[in-house]
Amino acid sequence: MSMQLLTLLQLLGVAILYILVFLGLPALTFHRKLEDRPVFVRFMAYLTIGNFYVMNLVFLLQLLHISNRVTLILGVALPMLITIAVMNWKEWVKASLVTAGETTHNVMVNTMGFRLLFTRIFQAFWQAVCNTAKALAENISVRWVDWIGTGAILILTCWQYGTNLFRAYGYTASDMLVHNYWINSMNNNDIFVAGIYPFGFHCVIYYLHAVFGIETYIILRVFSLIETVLIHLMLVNIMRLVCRLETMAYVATSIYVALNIWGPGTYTRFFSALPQEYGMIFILPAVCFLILFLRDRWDEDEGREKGLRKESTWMLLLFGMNVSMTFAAHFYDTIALGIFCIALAIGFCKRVFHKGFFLRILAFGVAALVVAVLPMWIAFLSGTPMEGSLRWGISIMQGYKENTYSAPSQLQEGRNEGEKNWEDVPAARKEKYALDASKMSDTLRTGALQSGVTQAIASIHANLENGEQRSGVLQTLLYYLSFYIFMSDSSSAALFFFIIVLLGIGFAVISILQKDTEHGSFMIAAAINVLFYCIIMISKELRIPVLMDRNRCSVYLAYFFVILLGLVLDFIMSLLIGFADSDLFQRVLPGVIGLGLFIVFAFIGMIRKPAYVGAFQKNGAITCVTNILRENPRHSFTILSSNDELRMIENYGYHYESYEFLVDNLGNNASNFLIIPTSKVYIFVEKIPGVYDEPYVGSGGPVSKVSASKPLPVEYGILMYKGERRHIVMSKLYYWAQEFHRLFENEISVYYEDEEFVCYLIEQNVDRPYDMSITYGYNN
Amino acid sequence: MVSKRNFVSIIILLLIMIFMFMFSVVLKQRLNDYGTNSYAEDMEEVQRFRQEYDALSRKFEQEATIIREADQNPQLRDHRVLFLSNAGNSDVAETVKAWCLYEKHPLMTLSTFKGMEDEELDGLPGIIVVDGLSFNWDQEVNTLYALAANGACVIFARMPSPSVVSKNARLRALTGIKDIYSENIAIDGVRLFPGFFVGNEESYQDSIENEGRQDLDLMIPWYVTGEGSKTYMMGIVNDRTRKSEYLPALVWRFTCGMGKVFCINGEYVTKDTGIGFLTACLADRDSYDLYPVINAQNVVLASYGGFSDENGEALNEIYDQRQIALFRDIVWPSLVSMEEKTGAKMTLMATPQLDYTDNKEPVKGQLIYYLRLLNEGYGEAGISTEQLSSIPLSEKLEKDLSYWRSEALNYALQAAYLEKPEHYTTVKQALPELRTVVVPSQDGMPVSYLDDVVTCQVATSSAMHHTFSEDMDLKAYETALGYSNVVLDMAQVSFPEGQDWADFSRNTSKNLITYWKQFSGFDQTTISESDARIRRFFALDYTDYRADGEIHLHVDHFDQQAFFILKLGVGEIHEVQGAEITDLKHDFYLLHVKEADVVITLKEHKLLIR
Repeated sequence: MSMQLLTLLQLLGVAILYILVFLGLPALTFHRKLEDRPVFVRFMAYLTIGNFYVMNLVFLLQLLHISNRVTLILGVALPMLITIAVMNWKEWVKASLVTAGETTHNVMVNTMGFRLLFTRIFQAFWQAVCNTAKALAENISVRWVDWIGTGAILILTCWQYGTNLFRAYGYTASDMLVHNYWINSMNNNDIFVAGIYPFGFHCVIYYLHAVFGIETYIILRVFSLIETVLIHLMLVNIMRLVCRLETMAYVATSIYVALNIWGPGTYTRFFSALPQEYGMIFILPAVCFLILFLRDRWDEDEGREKGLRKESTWMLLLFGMNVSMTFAAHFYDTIALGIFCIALAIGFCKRVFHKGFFLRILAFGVAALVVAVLPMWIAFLSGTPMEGSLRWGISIMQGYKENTYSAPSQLQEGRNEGEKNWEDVPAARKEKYALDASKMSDTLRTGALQSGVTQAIASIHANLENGEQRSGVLQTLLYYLSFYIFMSDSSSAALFFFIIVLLGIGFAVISILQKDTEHGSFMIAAAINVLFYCIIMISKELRIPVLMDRNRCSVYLAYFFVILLGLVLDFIMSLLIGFADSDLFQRVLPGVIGLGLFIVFAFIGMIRKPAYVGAFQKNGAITCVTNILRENPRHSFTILSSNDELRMIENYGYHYESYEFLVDNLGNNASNFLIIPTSKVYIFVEKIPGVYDEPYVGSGGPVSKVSASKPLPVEYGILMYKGERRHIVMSKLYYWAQEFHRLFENEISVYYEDEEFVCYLIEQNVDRPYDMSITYGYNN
Repeated sequence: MVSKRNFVSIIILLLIMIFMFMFSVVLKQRLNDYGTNSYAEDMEEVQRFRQEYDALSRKFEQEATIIREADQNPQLRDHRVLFLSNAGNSDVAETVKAWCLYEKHPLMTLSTFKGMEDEELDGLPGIIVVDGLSFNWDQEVNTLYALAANGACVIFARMPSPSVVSKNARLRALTGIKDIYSENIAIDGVRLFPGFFVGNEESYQDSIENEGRQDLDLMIPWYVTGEGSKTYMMGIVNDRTRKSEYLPALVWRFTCGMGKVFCINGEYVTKDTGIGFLTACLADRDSYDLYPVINAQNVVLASYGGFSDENGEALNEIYDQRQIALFRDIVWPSLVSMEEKTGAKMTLMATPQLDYTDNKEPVKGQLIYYLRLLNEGYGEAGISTEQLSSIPLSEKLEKDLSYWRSEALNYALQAAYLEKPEHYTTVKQALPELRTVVVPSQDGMPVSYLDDVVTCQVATSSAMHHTFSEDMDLKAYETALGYSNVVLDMAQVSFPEGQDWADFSRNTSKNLITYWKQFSGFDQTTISESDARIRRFFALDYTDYRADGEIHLHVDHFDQQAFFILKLGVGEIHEVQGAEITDLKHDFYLLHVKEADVVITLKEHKLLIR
């Protein structure tokens, strides 16, 4: 089986399980409750309920230290069954139980044979299958635009963001290793192992890992595509809610996915499974449910219905769940949602500040935040400190130098024993980290050096240097928008942005005048929302608190700008085809125009080619890890490699860091033996060492005797494997392996080799392991 | 009340059933050609094998020259062996000589490198066996070090004395000794790691279940080996503070420059089982090793005496059975049970009488009875020279053969059990068709030619007990030759001394079933089958090489079949052409060669997920 096919199977497996747990089970439980809502609302509602419940269940079980497969399954299954029973008792549960009881009785008293029983069961099953197929066929015949549109978006998203999974098998963001480590710790009921951090994303990954037994590293490798697909589907959903023409939701999302106009910084994070991006999934559902609340509540008030006003309360509840999850996943998502909510408050001011609205929204919002904060607060009270990157986030808001981590989460790997907290790390080393982290770009990758993505980023940074020196806040903003949002080096792209904003506001006014208040209000809110982000982009220049750094701000801004763009296009298109009475014409024409434009864009080269975001590990390394985990029983092997594999195999085998091994390898000078006491030792050597964040003279070159002869730099943690230091480590390790092969010809073999990477396998007798400390000519 | 019709049906059914059972038994008896020896060998073939063996010996004598022939294919491995010793005919020398004979190594002997030119040194064999106790290390170590560094494989059949090792740094560098903790220390046991010998790993240490089995030499010098060394056998010291890597090494390999140096710390090569140690060392020299083996596992029932009632009264007191009944109803069923459990083919060395002075003649029909049973179990019969009386051997043989001829005139008696080796001449005169003899355990080669026709197979075990050294010897024999010859002394059953049949049976069964199980990959043979394989083994020669993921073997003087052991250090077997292969575990494989040219294709290591 090829690694690519395996990746595909893993992706499908994880996606199916995710859909089953986070969408299927809530749908099974609440489908009757929400059956009157449109499909896209139901989709968001089920996803919200599934994620909210699982996240908080895992938080609860982890804090109680009773999280394991049994409790996690029961924690979902039991409440689900009870809820189904309670909600549907009168409808079908009671009748079903009575039927089941009667059938059992009949079987036991022999008035019904097994043959008849199985026939009836099969008939019932077959009837259900037929009904489902019929319902599906009916749905497709009615909702064929949505089916085609959703299919197109899925294909485009998978093409843009999925192909990279089959080209770079490893983690594409340096901090994924840290997240892997944190999730691993949850296996020991040790949540917040490195300090308090929003663990919502980790809870979801942990749940899939713990319940279904899929290795965490596999989920993290493929989960980025699931995240990204959901992010894009949410974009479709919100526009399906607010656009006049349903087709425009898909056209606008296609522009976001496929056109070659967006700056690479706006989408490169989608190639990695990261908490912030997972939290992004819940921003637009929150907005949707807030709008639905305002709509339902208004309708309920107009109808002067008495009582609890159940429908609107449901929407508010779902809004609150999403608010809570943005906070549980990543604070930036909450900030982004908060800004959108303020924009909505302005756009829908008449409704929001109407009696009985504002306080309810506020109460649910605050309650949601309390629910999200509660696990962290409990942990904090029990003495767990805050995780370093939270301080960094706060420091950004406090206006410290952008991109300078005060306690980079990426560097957690490098802490010494006893330095559990950031405070324990010596000040000198903290400075070193800060300096190193300042060089770190989230989007720069080894492999990406060869792609246009990196060149574009390099261009942005070069221009930004000039931009920083430009006078005038507005001019700076234009440059920021051009460079960050659009892949352009001129300010004309920013002008396009403002034209769309102005058109949005103008069309909003027209809509309101046309008494389409909701549409107009949302268009105003969408325009104000993107303007808020413009302010955040230049907040440093305006000398106001910086809510988020520009890199991440650009991700949200591009995402929300697409909504505004979609609304503007929707308004124009609805004006153009408004004369047509035919429903079919209204549904088909925008799609045909969109498809035609798409073909034109393709011909003029405006369709984005899937970017290649290189991984921090060689593909060969992941291939080997996959095979090693399959072939060996737990804790029967050791992988000797740089620290990339440490967290991937943490619960399955032992890991020995290359650097430490080389430091310990004193050859003849060793007074003690250097032994690795497992029967199999796998040694990962990069024949062409990867360039980890720091390019250097000779980057991309093969291991060499020149590098091997250099002394090992005195470095710490991940820093040891960056820049030329990685080259030195790999060169020494390569020549060590050559010498070991000379000494133990039959005992060391090549387990895997490609042009860039080789994995050696040493098989040894654990009762008399080999002395690995040998004189190989380049001992440190 | 049964109706007539049903009654007739039942009777017919019963008759059919009786016929079916009786028919098979009658058929079995009718078709049992017990009167002839199915393992009888053709004299012409026997002579041809001997001629080929003689020709091969002459060839080896010629090949044992200092300079390697220029036209020799460099791809072919150099099988020549140089033995370094200044002690003349020592025990080690005898073992090395036997080993070279078995493993087809042309052997040359040197006592010193003195006076040799560089060209001569370059032409020396690639395998050097050195008797460390009989060599002048002060003067010769540098030359030997240089030879090893240039790629020679050096085997220390015995280590130099610890005092010499401690004084000679170059010698320590040659042998990979990092430290000497003690020049003579009592260890608590010996640990044999898997992959050195064919068979399981062993821990030769006293324990409740191993009570009374410890008989190894436990006084050894404590050498600690350093980087580049691989240990195959180490001493056990019951000191938990000692990590295993510091425990005394008994057999180890050290890579010295381009060459491999094997060290055997102990007197293991002074015995004939030393051939196993030498073979095992050489097998781990390269990425593979191929060497011929006999592939025969014999079980011989020596001096089986169930033919006359000469000790009937004494046995009746013990077993409540007279001698003939005892052997027929108690002993033989036990042996058959053991045969079924182990898969052994029994060779029964019959002695119609042990005491020729009591006038108790062998009973007519008994020999035929046993020959029939033997033939059913694919066994074989021979004659035994053992007796308790003191009549001349020729007279005994005459009487025995007279009985044989009266019972089974056409049975070719090709095998004999010699109580003493000196009986051979007499037996040969009495039995001109003799092909092989079995002798009790003794020092020397386990299998050899006694003359141009007759081979000698020495008992390798009695199976009555299985001490640690016997276990190690068994492993050594199996590794070097794929051969074991278990001889059960059945005279002890006819005339018990101390232990009765129950003890005898329990001990032998337990040992054979337990300790021979790991060698089930080898074939069970009768003594004549084994003899035929030995003749082929002696007659064949071979060349081998490894190239392009394939191992090529060519067998000279190939006749019908041959057996080789393949030790594969690197790679996995994908396909074998010209032979059948059996996995003996721990990288050892048994090749049943069926054609003169064999090609073993190795697997390219393919990952499941690539």
